[in-house]
Amino acid sequence: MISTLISIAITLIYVLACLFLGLILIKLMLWRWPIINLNLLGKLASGFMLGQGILASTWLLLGLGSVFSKSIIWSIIILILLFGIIILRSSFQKSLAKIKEKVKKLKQLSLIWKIIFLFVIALILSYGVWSFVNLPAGDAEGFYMVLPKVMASARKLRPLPNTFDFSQIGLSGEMHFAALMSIADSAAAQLFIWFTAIAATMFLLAICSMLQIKVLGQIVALIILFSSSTFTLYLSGGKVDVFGAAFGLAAYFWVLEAYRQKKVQNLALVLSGLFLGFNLVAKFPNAATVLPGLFLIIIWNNYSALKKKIRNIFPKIIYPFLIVIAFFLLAIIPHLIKNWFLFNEPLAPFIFIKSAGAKWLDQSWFSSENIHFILKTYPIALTYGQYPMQGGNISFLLLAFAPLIVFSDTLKTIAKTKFFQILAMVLIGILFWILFRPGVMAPRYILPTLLLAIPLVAKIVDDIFTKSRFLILKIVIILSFLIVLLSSTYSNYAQIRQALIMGKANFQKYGRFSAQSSEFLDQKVAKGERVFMAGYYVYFLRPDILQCLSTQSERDDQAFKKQSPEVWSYLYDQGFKYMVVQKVSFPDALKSWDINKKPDWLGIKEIYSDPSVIIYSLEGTKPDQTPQCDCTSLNDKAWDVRCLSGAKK
Amino acid sequence: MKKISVFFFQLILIFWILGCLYVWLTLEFVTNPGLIMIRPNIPPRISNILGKSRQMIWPYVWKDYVYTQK
Repeated sequence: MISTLISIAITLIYVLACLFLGLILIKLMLWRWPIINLNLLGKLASGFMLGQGILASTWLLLGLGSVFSKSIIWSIIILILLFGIIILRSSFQKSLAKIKEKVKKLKQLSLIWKIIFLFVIALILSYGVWSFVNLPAGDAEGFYMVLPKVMASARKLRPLPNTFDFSQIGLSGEMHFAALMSIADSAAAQLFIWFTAIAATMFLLAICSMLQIKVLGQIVALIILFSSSTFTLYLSGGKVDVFGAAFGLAAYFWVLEAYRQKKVQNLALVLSGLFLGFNLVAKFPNAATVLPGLFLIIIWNNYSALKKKIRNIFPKIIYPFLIVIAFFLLAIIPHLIKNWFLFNEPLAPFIFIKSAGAKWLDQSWFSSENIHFILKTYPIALTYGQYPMQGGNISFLLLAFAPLIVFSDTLKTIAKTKFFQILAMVLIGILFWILFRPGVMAPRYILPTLLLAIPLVAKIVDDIFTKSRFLILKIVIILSFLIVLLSSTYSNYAQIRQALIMGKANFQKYGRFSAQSSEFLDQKVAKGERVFMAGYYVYFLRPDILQCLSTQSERDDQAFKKQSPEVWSYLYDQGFKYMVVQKVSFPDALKSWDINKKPDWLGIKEIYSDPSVIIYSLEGTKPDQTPQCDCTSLNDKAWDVRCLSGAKK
Repeated sequence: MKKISVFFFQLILIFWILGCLYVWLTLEFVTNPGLIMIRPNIPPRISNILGKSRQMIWPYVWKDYVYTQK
């Protein structure tokens, strides 16, 4: 219990540090315009996400320099908090007054909407509890929580041997996981995802305010957001999609703000560029759909000036583009340094200068016939699709309520221009994705663009409820909300209850197929011994084992291309003492590897077996030859695979 | 005439919303962890209807996974 409270407390301190850092910078940027009126939620979310982006870059550089230690992390956090309390003291009271105003508006809601609002808050909080209680799942067990675990233990950032190429991606959320795992534990790291989701929520509500959506409509926006499984699935489990969503929404928010508050236009474009850069680093597919929307808004808002004089193209179009691009590049500099330092390819995984490079970005998930089918059914695919690897849907409420626009007054109000601009940003983002990656059906890859559609539908529903007519329609809408809220809240409650009843050890043992076998290996494998892993799910292994796992090359380019008995000799030469086969990842691995067809000097014994995993030990000494590779300790926590010259890892 | 067309559109939209909700519920009963847990408690007749609906919808929301990389 005490460790749980400490974990939560450290997460809160970390959240405050991100918030203070960002707010200090925004206050410094706005020193010339102290009375500028920024939306409170937008400002707080911007501070939090700006601080996040800068801290992630800091941790990344410290990791590259092998000085990512607990003491340095705490020193930076404490410094930020101290400066924050001093510099931001006067802003606290103003913010408190604005919060009280918002609470007054909530009190004016009718009883049914107060009940709905309480349900929404209960749902959001249940996701917070679940994010803390849940364990890393899926890809997080293979990479997103594994790299931070190793970084926190070894105190430096290096690519994981078994996912070497994949380590070229941008690392933002992972850096926060590493910092929190270093100063607290993995539960704190997962809870941080929920706080980032709250920031994404705040940006969405701030965009709702731009459309003059009232409190009721903002509650509708919350319901649609938290019934979108492509968002809620990633509030726990250790993946980083929510970070991309928050940064993407921040970029959208600030480009819209640039043309709402002309006094601070350049500053808003600076922030939009920075958040676009952080968005690329956090989840690079997002940026491909966010960027076109930003440029569209710049052109749209200056179109009439351009029509009057073509000379206006530089100050009105090109200059704002340059501001966005310049600060986008500034935000991605640490990422470029990381890829240059670790892979000698700063532009990886997009462009490879010195090597052929892995082309894993150019992928497709369906046959061309099925791709055409999916494209023809796109709104339905996004809201109801159950395609393999899809990872959730945008809320069906968007599809259900969008046609209500026929009864909405949106098109007659002054907000209609903003409405169409946001709609255009959504459509152009989706169009870009369809054009460049039609064969990849994954709403999470274009999450900020899809979430941007939520305020549009919230506005439509808000308009319906301002009218005195349409009683039955309103009842049906409220019924839909209640059904969605009840099922989602119940689902979270059921999962949390099950996890708490099982207890952490059993939840891990029965909830994650790789946990038990990993626990066995953690007890069996001595320090310095290597494990050959024919599998992806490695999170529960000790950090030293993780650092000396089989590399991608050893597994894919060598072992998988060999048959028995050659493969056993190879594994011996590379210094492996154990071989793990995860049947869910590589069901056919054992078909070409016969443990009975082995060299006489090598003993192969099955030492563990469950329905999902088999583990073999490899013992013996090759005549006249020692292994070419071994796992060497660099210090008490950092390990590396070292091979004799000529041998490859 | 305008009142009739407004009423008519309202009716279409109500059926549209209820239809969207029904499709969502049909699919949720196999994906929502909480609803999966209470499935044994649902009356068989309702389970059968949801199951048949799901069979009809499934070809429009799922296709085989074929991974290719250039």
